[in-house]
Amino acid sequence: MMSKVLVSILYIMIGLIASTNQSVFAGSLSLRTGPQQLGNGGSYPLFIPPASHQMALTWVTDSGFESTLSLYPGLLFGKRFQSQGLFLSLGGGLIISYAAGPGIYSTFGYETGSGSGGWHFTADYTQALGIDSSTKKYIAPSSMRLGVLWRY
Amino acid sequence: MKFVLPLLFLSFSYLISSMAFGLELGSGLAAVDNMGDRAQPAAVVRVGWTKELFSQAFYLGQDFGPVSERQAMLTFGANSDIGGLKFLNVRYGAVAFMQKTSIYDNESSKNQPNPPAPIHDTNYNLGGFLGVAAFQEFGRFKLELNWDSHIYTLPNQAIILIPSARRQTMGLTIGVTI
Repeated sequence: MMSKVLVSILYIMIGLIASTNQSVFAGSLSLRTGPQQLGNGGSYPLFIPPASHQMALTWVTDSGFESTLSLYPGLLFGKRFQSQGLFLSLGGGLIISYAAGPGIYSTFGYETGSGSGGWHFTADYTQALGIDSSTKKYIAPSSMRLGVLWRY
Repeated sequence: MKFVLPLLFLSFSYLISSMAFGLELGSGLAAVDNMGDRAQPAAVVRVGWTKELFSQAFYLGQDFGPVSERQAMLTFGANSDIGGLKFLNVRYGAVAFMQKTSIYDNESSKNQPNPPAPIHDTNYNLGGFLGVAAFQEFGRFKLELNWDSHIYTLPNQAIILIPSARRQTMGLTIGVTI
């Protein structure tokens, strides 16, 4: 069920990007992979691809609106602030760990290059805090990812 | 004698507050995720060496029956403005250090003829940290809400630098510039 929802959202995002006028909706799309940390304060799995890694797809508009599709730490929507390659994102969404629920997140990252067009390298760390919808206990997953970014 | 110590303390406080060190001293409380299903309270002390550089220490602990656990985390980091935001800083640490001590002290065994000594188990970790802080300055005073992740490598004699643990901290501190 969850995978169907994620794939549907992915199609919607790709459709939105493909159907919009690029001069109005300039932005970037990044695909990253890396280890996620579930539970609270526990250990990370060894990051030896292809084992123990998850993908994340992030779409950022030129106005800084950020949408992230990932299994962990979840479906995230926020605002990205950027200066000289470094960026900070703040927002909220559906936080997924061993449980799922609403919450907030912050991302600290770096991306190469500037301006529009072309492929770039990007790396980021995301921390999230959420409330488990069923038990009402807190969940705090995080992820470290690196990957490619396409500016259009 | 009972007036001397308060007078000394007041004199020292006045001396410290009248000198322009440019240091910011702060303290407060934090919630730390410590592998449980709820955050654990911790005490925080912060020293701002300059506008950009700071050190921060957390101390927390909990008891489970005969087991006592104490943790200290010391970080050295830098603040950085981002996106022209005047109330928000990105924070990143070059070094983070954690000392975790677990003490097993079985009270019931103390009635035995030769009671065993308490077992101490101490781990040290190195790592880095990333986070974000919102702050507001009121003259010499600074109120700061920070949200950091301390990411540690394998403990003790680890050679391979891979992340092995994380402590997410959310702290509220009040500081004063002296």
